[in-house]
Amino acid sequence: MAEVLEVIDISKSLKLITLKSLYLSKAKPGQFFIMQYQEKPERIPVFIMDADIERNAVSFLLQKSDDMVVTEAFENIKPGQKLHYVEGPAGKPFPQLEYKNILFVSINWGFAGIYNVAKHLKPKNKIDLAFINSDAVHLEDLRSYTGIFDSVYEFDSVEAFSKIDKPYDVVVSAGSNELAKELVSVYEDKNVLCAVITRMLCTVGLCLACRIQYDGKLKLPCVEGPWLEANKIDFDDLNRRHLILKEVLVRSRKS
Amino acid sequence: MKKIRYYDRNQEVLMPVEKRTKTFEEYSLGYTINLAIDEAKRCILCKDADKRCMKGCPINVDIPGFISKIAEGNILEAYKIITQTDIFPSICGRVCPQERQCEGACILYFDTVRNKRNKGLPVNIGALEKFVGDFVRISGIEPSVEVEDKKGYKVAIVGSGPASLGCAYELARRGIDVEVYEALPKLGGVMFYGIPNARLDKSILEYEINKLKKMGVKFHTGIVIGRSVSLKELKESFDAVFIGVGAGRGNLGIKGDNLINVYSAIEFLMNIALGCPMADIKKVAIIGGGFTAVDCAISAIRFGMETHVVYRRTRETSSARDEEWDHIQEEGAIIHWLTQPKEIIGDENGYAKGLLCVKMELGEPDESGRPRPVEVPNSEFVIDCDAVVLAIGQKPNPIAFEELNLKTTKWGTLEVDQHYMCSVDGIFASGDVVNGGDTVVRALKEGKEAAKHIYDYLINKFRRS
Repeated sequence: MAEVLEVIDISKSLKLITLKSLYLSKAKPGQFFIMQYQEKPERIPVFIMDADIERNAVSFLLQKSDDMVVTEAFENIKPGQKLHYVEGPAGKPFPQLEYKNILFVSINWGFAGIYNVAKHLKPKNKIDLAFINSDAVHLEDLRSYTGIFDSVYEFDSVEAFSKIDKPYDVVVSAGSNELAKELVSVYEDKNVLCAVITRMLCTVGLCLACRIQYDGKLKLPCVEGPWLEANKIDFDDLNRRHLILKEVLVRSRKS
Repeated sequence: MKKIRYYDRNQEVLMPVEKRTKTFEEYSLGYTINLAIDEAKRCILCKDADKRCMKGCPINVDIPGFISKIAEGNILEAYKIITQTDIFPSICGRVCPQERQCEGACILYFDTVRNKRNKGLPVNIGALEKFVGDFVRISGIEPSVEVEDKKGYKVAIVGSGPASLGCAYELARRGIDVEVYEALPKLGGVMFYGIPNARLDKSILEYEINKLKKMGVKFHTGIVIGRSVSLKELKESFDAVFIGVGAGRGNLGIKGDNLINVYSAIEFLMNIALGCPMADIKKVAIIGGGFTAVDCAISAIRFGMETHVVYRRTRETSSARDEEWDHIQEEGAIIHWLTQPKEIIGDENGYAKGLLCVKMELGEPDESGRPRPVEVPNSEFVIDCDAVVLAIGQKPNPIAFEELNLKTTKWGTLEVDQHYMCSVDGIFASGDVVNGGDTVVRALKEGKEAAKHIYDYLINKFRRS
């Protein structure tokens, strides 16, 4: 169980939650954790936005959604409450990159993962942010957290996103598999790293629920990710499986 | 002279088929005390049981000893005798393949000394063991475990499956402080996530784990060793570390394994154990012939799925219990023996829609001595299904130990010496992560054995220093 220390309403669809957790507060940049709001809901992988080892605290973004059990958590979470279960930190930390021009691209709650990694890379890199506004989250909602970026760009859709005329060495995205797929086509000559969104159950590489096709082989984002080279991911396969999961969850919530 | 009762083996009472296929409650209801005493009286209490049933038991339970106490009506004493070697009688009584262990070596059925089949049916040792464990648990009796004085050493245990719990029990009993680290929310490893409630009620597992807690064992969940905490950190904080992370990662590698509604067995079973939403599956084909395949079938049937089990060999070579095959057949499972799956067929949207198979027949023996299945020409056929579960092969989870580069075998299992120590001093391992996947009782035994070596290691190390 982990105690909720703080809940900040960022927008009508987004909350910043801070939890007390000794182990999660030791998370390295880019790692995530698993949250179970109640005993028997879906296990939800959550990006760590900030980890404060001195306070034994960790923060993350929780976004309201119609098709995930997370909505129930979103509507009810409050300070003092104890979450049924948290597990982690999990996944591999973000690879260390130095003296590069990095473009971070984010949509929705994926900003948490981007913020966490960007803060870590800022001292030795030039970091820009391109944020894709969605119905749920606008860049304006997150303004208090964008100060770490050297430049910030805003777009209203993935389709509107086009090449930003700068010599980026690496493009890093989080928040949407579709966005990552789009970036691969836009930045075909760049190294695009993305945080894969997939269903996770065991988080220790045993159950294979999160498996994706990567460079023609099986890859397990729960232990080998979440940060992977986007051009090697079979997004058609990934998104097909991801869509099915959404359907299952929607049906489950309705029944 | 006492008449030998060769044939009148008492069967456990089973829930009627039409009822049990609609519930995850245990379907094998166990013995009444009268039935247990009657069955115990069938045992002829062989003087050379150490060459027979006891030898067949992986943890060498004093079988005539505990059965004679049941026959006298002294169940608590029977419990004490069993738990000298088997700390989880209620669990082993339910999940051990007794017909290939103790019961397979019961003189009524098979004379292991003369190596010949006898004419009768074995004493129902598994049901008696289960009865004893259940009787004590349900009665609310709390048998005390003698715990030695604290020795001042502490051991970290990674994983909470049967090997880990066996190790924790033995170390705690010897006065060692034990802390168990588990990634998942529930303790018990395969016993919680792999074995459906219909075969092993989770409250039994909880009871047994509470016994360990009362002995002072501390449990931590939600901690992924290798990610939340490194093995190196753990080794620095404890006097020794035991790795019992098991092996669950199944093999895929069949064409079509990435179609929608193709699951590994552990994914399928974990979904159910965790209460996660399931896809709407009407017909499932389960590939495999072991315990895991049977457990998947038990679960699928209870979700109302038309259930096919596909195994390339025969029932005789399966590692699952004989009676469990009978049970799932009674419940409607369609079992395809000597059938090799070749490809999972998908529809235009990427969903599984069938399993292409070919019939096999037994040929010459392979390197294991078992007849090798060979394809029957022109025997391909398709099982119509909308989901496939792969219950074949097992591999360990490497993330707990990859960082210290512990030596592994070509199968990815951990290499250990005769003392269960890994290639790094002070790190021990046993159970499925070493043997590649076997029974609960073997893991339990190896966990306890490793604990004895860990104890010796600690005593000798600190005596030297």
